Amino acid sequence: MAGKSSSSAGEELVNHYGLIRLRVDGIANTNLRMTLMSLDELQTNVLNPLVLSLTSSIEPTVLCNFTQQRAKLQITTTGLGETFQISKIIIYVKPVANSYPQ
Amino acid sequence: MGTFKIKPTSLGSSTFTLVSGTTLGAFQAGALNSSVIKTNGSGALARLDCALATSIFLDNSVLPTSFSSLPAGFTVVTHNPILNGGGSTNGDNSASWFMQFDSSTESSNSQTGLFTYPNTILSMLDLVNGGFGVRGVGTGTSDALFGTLANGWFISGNYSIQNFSWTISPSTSVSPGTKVTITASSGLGLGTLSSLSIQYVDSNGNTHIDTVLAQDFLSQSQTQVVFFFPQFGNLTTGSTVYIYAIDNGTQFSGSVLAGTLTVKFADASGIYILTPFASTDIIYNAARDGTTTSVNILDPIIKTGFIP
Repeated sequence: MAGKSSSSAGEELVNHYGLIRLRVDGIANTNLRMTLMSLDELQTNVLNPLVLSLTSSIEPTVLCNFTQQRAKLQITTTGLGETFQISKIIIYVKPVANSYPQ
Repeated sequence: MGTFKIKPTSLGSSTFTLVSGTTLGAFQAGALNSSVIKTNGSGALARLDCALATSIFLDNSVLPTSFSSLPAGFTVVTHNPILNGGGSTNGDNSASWFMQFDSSTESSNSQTGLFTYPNTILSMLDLVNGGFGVRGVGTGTSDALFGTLANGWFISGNYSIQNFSWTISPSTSVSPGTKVTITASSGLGLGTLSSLSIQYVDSNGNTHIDTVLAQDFLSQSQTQVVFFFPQFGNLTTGSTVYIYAIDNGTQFSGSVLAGTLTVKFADASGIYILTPFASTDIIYNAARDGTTTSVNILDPIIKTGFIP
């Protein structure tokens, strides 16, 4: 079997999701709740909530530790009067394996 | 038919020297002064102000009737300021005296305290708000007006009560936007109405007054007025709303109760209004009493696509 090309699309690589950085504002004291989810949402990684303010001079960072082939990020609020405005999301991902063992 | 008097409640502007002092009492009943006002050589003007709540006395009553409590259909028939007790001038008798309504409406010249006035009949509201006064023009510092005031200075007149029969349709289950029709079957007509005043007390006990101007009537004739019932809130279904008609002064003064109707607080339509930066949804309570409750916007969620 020929070896996998290192320049493959990367969809089958196993990735480690290590850090998320956002540019986000919201009603003061809004708790921005984030969760990483695997394919079919079978596995999740609930992240520490981010407390927002109406204005901010920084782009906060939230650590995560999630190893999956693919993942999606869910962002939500649950409290009365909580709102958020996101203008940028950066997710730091690094491949750690080519594939899962057969 | 009845009689009324409008008595002053305060001394307004004045540019003269009051011989007897500078208080309102000098112009009121019982004041006995040899001279109340004098020209001071260059002229004199005394304005007496009246109050809507305490200046109107009907049919020789000793207690005042407030303007808002005047009988429905109250209409001024005749009126004139009265300088009761007679009048005279002393000094060199060269002064001319003019009794006034507002600052631009006054009698012809008199040196005897008896005055004649323009034929224009003012409404009760204008009479009270305008007050009255006296202006003197003379050349001598001793020209004065005037003597004993057996009954003081006041506006005296006659009034009548205009009968009318108006109906309001619909009169029940009226919602905002309902086309309401007022029909005049007899008496006062509707062609001179300047506005409608819609008044009610909400569920918290607060009084609300909404005005529909004649320019916003859908139609207006002597026998009919049609208008859209305005928005209202915090009012339970079945509550009573009062409709008052305000005339332009041609037919009657003040306001006339046209009638009442009951309202229906319609169910919410389910159409939402987006308000920028609103952090809650606002819904009407199930009790249909017009009150609202703020509720959480249902967990706003975003999900990205799969990464990578």
